[in-house]
Amino acid sequence: MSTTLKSRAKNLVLSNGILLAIIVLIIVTGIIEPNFFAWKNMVNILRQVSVNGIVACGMTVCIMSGCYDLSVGSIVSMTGVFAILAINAGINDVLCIFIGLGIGLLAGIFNGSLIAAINGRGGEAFIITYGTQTVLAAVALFPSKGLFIAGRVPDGLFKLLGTNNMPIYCFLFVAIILHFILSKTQYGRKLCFIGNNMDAAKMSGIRVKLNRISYFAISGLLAGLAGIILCSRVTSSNPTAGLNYEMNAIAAVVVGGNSASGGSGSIVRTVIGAIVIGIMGNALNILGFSTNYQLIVKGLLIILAVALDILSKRVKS
Amino acid sequence: MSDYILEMKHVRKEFPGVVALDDVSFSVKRGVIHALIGENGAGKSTLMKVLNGVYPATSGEIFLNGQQLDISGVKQAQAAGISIIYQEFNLINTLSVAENIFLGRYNGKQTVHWKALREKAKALIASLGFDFDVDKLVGRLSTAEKQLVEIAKALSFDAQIIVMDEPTSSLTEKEVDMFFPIIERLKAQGITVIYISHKLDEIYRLCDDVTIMRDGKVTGNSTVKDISRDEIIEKMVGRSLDMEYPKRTVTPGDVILEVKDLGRRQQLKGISFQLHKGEILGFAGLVGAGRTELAEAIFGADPADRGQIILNGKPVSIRSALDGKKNSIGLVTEDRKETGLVLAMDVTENTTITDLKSVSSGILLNRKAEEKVAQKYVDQLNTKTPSLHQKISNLSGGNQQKVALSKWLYSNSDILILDEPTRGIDVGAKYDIYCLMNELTEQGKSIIMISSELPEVLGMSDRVLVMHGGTIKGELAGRDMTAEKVMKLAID
Amino acid sequence: MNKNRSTLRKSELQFFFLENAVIIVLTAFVVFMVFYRPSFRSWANLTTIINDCCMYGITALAMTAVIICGEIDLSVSSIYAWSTCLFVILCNSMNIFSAAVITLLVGAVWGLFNGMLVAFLRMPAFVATLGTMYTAKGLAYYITEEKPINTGNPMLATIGKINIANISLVPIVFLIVLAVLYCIMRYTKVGRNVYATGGNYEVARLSGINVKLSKIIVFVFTGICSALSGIMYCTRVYSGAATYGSDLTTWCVAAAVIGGTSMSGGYGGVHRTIIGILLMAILFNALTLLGVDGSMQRFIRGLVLVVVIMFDAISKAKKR
Repeated sequence: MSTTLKSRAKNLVLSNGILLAIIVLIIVTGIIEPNFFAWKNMVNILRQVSVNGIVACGMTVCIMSGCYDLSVGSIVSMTGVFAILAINAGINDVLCIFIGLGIGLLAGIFNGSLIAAINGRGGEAFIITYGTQTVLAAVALFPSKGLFIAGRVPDGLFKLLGTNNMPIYCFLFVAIILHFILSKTQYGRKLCFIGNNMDAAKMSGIRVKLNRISYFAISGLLAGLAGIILCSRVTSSNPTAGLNYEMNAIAAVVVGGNSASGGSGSIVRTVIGAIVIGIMGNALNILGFSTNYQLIVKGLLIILAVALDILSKRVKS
Repeated sequence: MSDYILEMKHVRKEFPGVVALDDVSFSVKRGVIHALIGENGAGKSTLMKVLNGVYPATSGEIFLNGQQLDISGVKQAQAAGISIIYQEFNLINTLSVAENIFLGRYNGKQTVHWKALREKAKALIASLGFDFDVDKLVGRLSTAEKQLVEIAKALSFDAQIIVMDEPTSSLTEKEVDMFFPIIERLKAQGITVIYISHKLDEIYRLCDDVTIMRDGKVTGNSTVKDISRDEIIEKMVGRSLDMEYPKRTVTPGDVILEVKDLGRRQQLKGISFQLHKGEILGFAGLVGAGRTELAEAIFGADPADRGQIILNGKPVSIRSALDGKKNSIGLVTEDRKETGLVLAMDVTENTTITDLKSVSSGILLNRKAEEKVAQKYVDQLNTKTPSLHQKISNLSGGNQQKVALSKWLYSNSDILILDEPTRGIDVGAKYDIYCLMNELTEQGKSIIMISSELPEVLGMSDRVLVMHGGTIKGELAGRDMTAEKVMKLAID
Repeated sequence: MNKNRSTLRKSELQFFFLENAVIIVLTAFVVFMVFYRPSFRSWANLTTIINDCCMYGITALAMTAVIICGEIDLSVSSIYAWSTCLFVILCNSMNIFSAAVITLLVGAVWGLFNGMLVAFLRMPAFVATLGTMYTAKGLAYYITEEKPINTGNPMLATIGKINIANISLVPIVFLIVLAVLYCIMRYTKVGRNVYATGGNYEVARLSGINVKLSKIIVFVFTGICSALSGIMYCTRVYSGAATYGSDLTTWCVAAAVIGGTSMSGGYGGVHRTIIGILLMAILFNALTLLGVDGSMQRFIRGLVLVVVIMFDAISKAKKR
C-alpha cells in the first residue's frame, strides 16, 4: 500500500512538477514586486493570456490526436492582416470577423488535408506544418509588404472583441465550449481513440481521415479568432504578430500536464497551463527578461515537460 | 565423435501458467536436412528459440558435437555455429546485400573496406550457386533472394546448423524450385539444416529425417522414407480433446451472406462461399493461408478489388470498415492489443465506440446510458473487471477479448467475424466464449470463426472451410469434419 | 513473362518520375532560366550561386546524416544564429581561430544535448529540437542584448576577402566538410551504423549495433556544421544577430530530400544532397533575378518543403 502511495506521489510530482516550480517563481516575483499581485495587473495578464489561451485550446485538440500544429502563429498573423484589410475596404465589421475566421479555417483544412492524404503520423505532420508555417507567414506579408496596417475599425462587434475584458470572455467561452465537446461528446471520444491508436480507431469504423482534418481545422479556426482579437485590441495589423505563438501554445498544453504524445488531454489543464505561462511571462518581464529572452525559458520548459511526461509514463508501466 | 551434431535432451520450457515444451528430446544427425513439423503452437518455434538462445530453457541440456553447450544468448549460439532464419527477415531493406551480410561486423575495424566486403559477399553468394549484384538494396530483392541473403549471412558466421522457419511460406512455386537446390548445396557442403515446415510435399522432396511435435511434446521421430503421410498427419493432430465444447443447438437457416469470386491483389483468389443465418462457419488453415485477409476484405478494412458480396440477397459495396459496420458486420480482430482495443482507455469507452449515437442524448454522451450498456455486456459475457472504468491494459487476455466482443455485440452486428477468438486466453474464458457463440446463434446471429486451433474449429463449427494460399481448398461438414481431413487440405 | 517484364518497366519508369519529380521540375526551370536571362549564365552570377549555396550547404550535409538516421533537427537555424553571435563576440576579444574552435565546440554541445534527449529519453526528435530551437534563439538574443553585433577583427576581414576568381573560402570549407562527412558515412563503422539505425532500428539493435551512439553522433554533426555555417557567414558580413538564418532548417531539409534522401531513414547519402543544394540555390537566385520579392521567395521556400515532403511520403507509400 505504501509503495503504491509512494509511486503515486512520484507520479504527482512528475506530472505537476513544472507547474509547482512556476508557481514558486510567481510567488517569488510577488514578494519582490508587490504590485504584481494587484488585481489590475492580474486582469491585465489575463487579457494577454487570452489570445495565447485560445490558440492553445486548438493546439490541445491537435496534440490529443498525436500531431502538433506549428503553423498557428502564421495563421494568427495572416487572419489579422486580412481582417484589417477587409475592414479598411469598408466591409461590414461582422462580416470581417467571419472572413477572418474563414481564412483560419481554410488554412487549417489545408494543413489537415495534406496530413490526412499521406496518412502522416506525428513526425510527418510536424514537418508539414513547419512548411506551411513558412508559407502562411509569407501570405501574411504579401498585402502590405511586411508593414503595419492601421485599421479604420468602426464601432461595432469587431472593435468590441478587443476592448476591456472581451478577450477574456472569448477565451473562457472557447475553453468552455471546447471542454464540453472534448469531454462530453462523441467527437471528443473519437478524438481520444484516434490519438491513442489510429489503427484500432479505423477498425472500429471511425472516419479517421475526416476527423483528423477537422482537428487541424479547429486549430486553424481558433488561431484565426486569436488573430482577430489581437488586431481588434490594437486596431491595426502586424504581419509578424503571431511569431512564436505556436511555442506559447505548445508550452501551455504540455506545461499544463497534458500528454505530449496524444490520446488524452483536458482543456482545463491547458487553461491552467496558459494562465501559468502568461503569469510567468509577466513575472519574467518584471524581473527584466524581455520576450526574446523568454524564449530560453519557454524552450527549456517544453523540453522539460515532455521529458517528464515520458518519464512518468515509464514509471507507470 | 557421435553421429549427432546436435542433441537436445529433456528440454523443458515454462512460461507463466503454460508448459510450452515438456521433456523434449531432439537429435539431429550431421549433414542432413531434418524436418521439424507440427501444428501452430505445437512448440517448434519455442524449441528453436531455446536452441538459438532467445529463451533460456527451464531445464534440459544441449549437446553440440557431443559437447555440452551452455547457450545463454543469441551471440553465443552464433559463435557456436547455430543460425536461425526467421520468417520475417532480420534484414535492413535500405542497405545493400553485401552490407546486410556483414551487418555491424567489419572485421572489428573502425573502417569499412568495401572492395573486400563485396568480394566476400560475392564469394558467399557464389558458394550457394548464385551470382547477383551484391550492391543491390535488399528492399528491391524478391523474397527468395532475401532468403538467399539470410543464408549467406548465416554462412558468414561459419554456421554448422542453419534453422529455417517456414522458408517457402511466401515463395512462388518457381522460386521454390530455385530454392531447393540451394538447401541441397548446403547439405553437400556438410551443413546441417533444420527445416520447419507445414508442407508435406516439401518434406518428402527434401528432407532426410523428420521429427513431429504436438502440444509441446515430440510425438514422432523417423527417417522420411519410413513414414507415410497419413502417419505424419495422425501424429500431428492426434491431439487430446481435453476441451469440452458446448453442444450446438441451432439449425442454420437461410443464406444471409454470400461471397462470390472475391479477390484482392495477390492475397486472395476466387473466394466463394455462403453463410447461413444462425450458423457458425469455421475457417481452418495454416498461418498465412489468407484467412485474416479474407476477414478484412469482407469487413471492408482492406477492401476486396474484385468479386461480389451479397447480404440478404442484395449486393452491397463494402469499401471501408465503416461500410462493414453499417452493413451489420463486426470484426473481432486477431490482434486485440494493436487493432481491437485501445488499451489506455476504459471498459465502457471501448464497448460503446462502435455506436456512440445510441448512448447520446442529442449531441451529449450520456455517461449513465454508456455505463448501462457496458454493464449489460459485462454481465452477459461474465467479464471480470474491478469496475466499468478500468483501463483495458489492466485486464487479463480473456477479459480483454470479451470487451472486444462486446463492442461488436453492442453495434448489433448480424454477422460476427471472430479472428482467433481464443488466442492467448485461459480455459475458463475460452469456455465462456464458446457458450456465448452458441447463445448468439440462437438469437439469429451468424458467426465466421477463424481459428488455428483445430479442435476448436471442429468442436464449434457447423461447417468448416479450409484455406490455403489465398484460396478455399475445400469444405467439410458432418462426418467429414475430422482433424486429418482438415490437415490434409491445409498442408497439401 | 514478357508481359510481366514490360509492366515492370512501366511501373519502374513511373516510379522514377515520381521519385524525381521535384528534380525534374527544378531542372527544367534552370534550363529555362539559362535561356531566358543571359545574366543568369554570367561568371559573376555563377560564383555568387556557388558562394551562397555552400554556406547553407554545410549544414544541409549534416542534416542529411540526421535524416538518414531517421530523425530530424529543427534547431539548426537557431544554432546557426547563436553561433554568429558567439563567434563575433569572441572575435572582439581573441584571435579568430580560438573563437572558431570555441564556437564549434559549443555547437557540438548543442548537438550532444539534442542527441541525448533523443537517444536516452527516446523523446521524438522534432519536439526535442523544437525546444532547443527556441532556447538557442533566446540565448542568442541574450548574449547580443537583442541587437546585431559587429566586429572589426582585422584577421576576419582578411580571411573574408580571400578569393580566387571570385570564389571565396566558403566553397573550399564546404568541400572539406563534404569529403569528411562522405568518408565517415561511407567508410567508417560509425557511419554505416547510422544507416543501419535509420533503416531499421530494431534489427540494427539486435545485430549488436550501438544505436544510441548513432543517434547522438548525427546530432553532434548538425550542431558542429550549423556552427560552421554561422562562422562562414560571419566571414562575409562581420556581424552576428539572433535573427540570422531563420530559413536554414527549411532550406536544409528541402535540399536533403530533393537530393533523394528519404525522410523514412536509412536511405540516401550526403553526396546526393549536392544536387539539392545546387537546385535550391539556383532556384532562389533565379527568383531574385526575376525580381521576386522576399516574402514571395519565403512562400515558395515553404511550398517547396511541403511539396518535397508530400512526394517523399507518397513514393514511400507506393513502394510498400
